[in-house]
Amino acid sequence: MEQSTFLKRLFDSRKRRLAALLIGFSALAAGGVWLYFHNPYTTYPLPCAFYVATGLYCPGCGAGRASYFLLHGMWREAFSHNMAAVMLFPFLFLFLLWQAIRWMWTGQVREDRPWLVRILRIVLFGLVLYGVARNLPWYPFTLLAPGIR
Amino acid sequence: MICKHCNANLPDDTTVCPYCQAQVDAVPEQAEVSSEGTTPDESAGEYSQGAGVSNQNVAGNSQNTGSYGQNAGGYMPNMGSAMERPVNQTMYLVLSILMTVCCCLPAGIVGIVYASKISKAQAMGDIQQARQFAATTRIWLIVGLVVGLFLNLSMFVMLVWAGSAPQYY
Repeated sequence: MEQSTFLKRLFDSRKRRLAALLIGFSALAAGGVWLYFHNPYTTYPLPCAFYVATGLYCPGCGAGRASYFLLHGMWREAFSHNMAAVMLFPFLFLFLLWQAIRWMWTGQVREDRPWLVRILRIVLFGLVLYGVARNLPWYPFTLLAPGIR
Repeated sequence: MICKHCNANLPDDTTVCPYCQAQVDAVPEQAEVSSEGTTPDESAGEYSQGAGVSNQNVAGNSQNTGSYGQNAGGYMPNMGSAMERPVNQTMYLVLSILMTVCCCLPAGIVGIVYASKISKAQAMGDIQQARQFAATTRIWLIVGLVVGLFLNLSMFVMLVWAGSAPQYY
């Protein structure tokens, strides 16, 4: 594992880890700013290779548009594009922030908490069901497909 | 004395760690005590000092600290407490799910399968196997990132150039 030796040496000081963290989050912020000024319906949209190839909505379909509407505070539109993403984003953000700060401080990624793995299994199962359900062409399920309504 | 590479307990007069073959210079024990709470003064250049302190800090909190990359320094089969530490599955699972949903679905699914095998291997007490699953997951995550980024970016470029109908994301 030559590569991880290199990474280990690269991130061996707390200051460098902090720098890496700041770079990562400023990239995230830059992406947010870009998205804020690019309405996917009036400017050019971001494509998805999976959707183009199969024509199916995967569980993440609409997450980008939902983020756009979330950035503008339009909850209803965000929810109608991808309700799973809207519900999971805060937890995902908190989790990544928590782990990133922990990593920055100690240089280690925390070992598993059993409750976290259990929750993740439930989330995974739910996402699979969600991905199937939003592709069904009947009335209550068509509400789950991405789009404005 | 504590090895700053693998956190093994060593007798004070050792110069080479018997577990991970790393050079050990005498790091005083009090370093880990003082690092609790306050920031240890570490200058930017001295990475070894900083890493030693932070590793000891974590080792004090829990015996089994999972971290990938930590065993990478010098791995010898059949010996080494570094190999006995459990792998942290949560991060692999989260990243695989993210990969499935946001970037490259096929690679993400393979990642999920291997990431969920980690805890099974760990429950059987087979840390070695768990590490292998983790490495496989890591490879699929990288493959998914590269393939997904390439496919989506090239499509984005084509769309912007051609200005064609909306394709969803």
